[in-house]
Amino acid sequence: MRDKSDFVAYVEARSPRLLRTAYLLCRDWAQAEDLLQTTLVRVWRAWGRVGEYQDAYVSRVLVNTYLSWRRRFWRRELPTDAPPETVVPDDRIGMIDERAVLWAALGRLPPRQRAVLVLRFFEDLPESAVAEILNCSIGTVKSQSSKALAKLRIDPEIAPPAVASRMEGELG
Amino acid sequence: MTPAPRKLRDLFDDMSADAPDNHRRLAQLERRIRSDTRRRAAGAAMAGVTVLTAAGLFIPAFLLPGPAVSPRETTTAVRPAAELPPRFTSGDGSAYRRLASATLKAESKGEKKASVTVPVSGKPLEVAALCPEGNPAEVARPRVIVDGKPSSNWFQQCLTREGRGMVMGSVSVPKGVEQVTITFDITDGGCVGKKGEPCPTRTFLQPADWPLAVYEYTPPAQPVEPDPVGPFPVRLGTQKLAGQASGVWPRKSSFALTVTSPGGYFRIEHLCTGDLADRLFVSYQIGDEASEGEWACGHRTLDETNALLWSQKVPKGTKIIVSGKVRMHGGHSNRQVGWSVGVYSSKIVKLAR
Repeated sequence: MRDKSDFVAYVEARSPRLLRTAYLLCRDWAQAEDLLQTTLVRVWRAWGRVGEYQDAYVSRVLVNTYLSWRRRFWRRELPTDAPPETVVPDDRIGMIDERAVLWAALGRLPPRQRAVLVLRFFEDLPESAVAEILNCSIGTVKSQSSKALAKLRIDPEIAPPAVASRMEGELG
Repeated sequence: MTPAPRKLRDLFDDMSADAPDNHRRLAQLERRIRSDTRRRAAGAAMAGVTVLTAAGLFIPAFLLPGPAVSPRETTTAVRPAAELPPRFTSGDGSAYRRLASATLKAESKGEKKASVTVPVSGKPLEVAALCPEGNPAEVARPRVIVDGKPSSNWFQQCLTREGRGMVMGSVSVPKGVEQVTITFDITDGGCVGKKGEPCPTRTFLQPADWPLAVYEYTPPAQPVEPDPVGPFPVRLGTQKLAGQASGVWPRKSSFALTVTSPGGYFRIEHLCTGDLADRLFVSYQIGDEASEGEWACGHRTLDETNALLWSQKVPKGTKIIVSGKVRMHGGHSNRQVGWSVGVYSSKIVKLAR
């Protein structure tokens, strides 16, 4: 059984990183802090039983708390999300725009798919660990990850300008 | 451009790099834990259990290094009865009689599945369970299988009860049968694999005992009027009541409200009364957009209601129709449920939880 003093040490050591994960899920720092603290309250209640895999346990609570919040929303996007800037074709800082539209496209992913990407590519967790956190099979993690990446690729706002122009031409 | 994993990694790193430094996090966390402990202790007391230790004892253990103290031990001493009662009468006068009982022990390999065969007399059948203690998300819930067919009942109410008492669910019985076999199964953590997929390994599940039973009940001879649902407050924080509708199932099972936007967001609250409030589900539609799924009404207060947020800003002065349908899972027409829906509007959004 873990000591409660470990909990304080854990919070101090790990909360900056957990806050970043929470932000990547909610995309709003205030909500991320709220999500983190809600998660830590729940973790505290079970701390005596957590065992040695604290990070995996906390990640699971964090993601599940986030998903349970999101299920109560009708719409996937929070209104606080600023709309992405329109890509200007001759923009010299196109790289920044490219990232902005990719960030915006990530925001349009279903919460569960976004969570898979964050766990895989920010937390660098193997598929098996993601499966355990999300309480699904490894196959589901693979398919969700693949669908999410496919959505990002085909998102019209991140299609290469040449493709976008061609589409406009065809429509015109 | 394709979002290669490397690009995603870089993006995630960069976008989250400017995390604000919160020096007060531990103090805020302490307040939240204190508040959570009080709320849970109050909830347990309301459910008829004994609160052994004052909530105030909880926080010093958090702040001072010392030996581990289980939160469960410090907040409540809930010991569920060894078995469910043989007979009881519900608040609306339905007389329940236990036909069979079983216990599943999630930590024991040999007691993860139990079947009982009960006679079918024509009276409604229900399954019952005592929700085990602990975080319900970490406890495998038994699935219910009726004559080999999975039932939708999964003791979902335990997700909000956390060891606080008995929950019940309806059982659909095939027509014309004289007896039915009901199986409670907690194998694979109660997982029902999708499309032949294997069930995930869930190392986080906590062991739990599940006292279970099958009941038949005699419903009240006449429709029983549920307690009236109190009116929604005109103001709820920053939100103003824009409209409300109410009714009693099964006499009324839908509503439509026309509300005018103040130039902001809508939030919907629902409250229910009656013994079967847990089994009344509400689905909503705002304008022509329907909510995904339906929400259990349950016995909640406004402090803990499962509010829905319509997170699309509606321009000021826009008239919009908020409609909904209520549906009972199982139940009996003489066991009526009062429901009430309040639509709130706000110029700012607060996260619903």
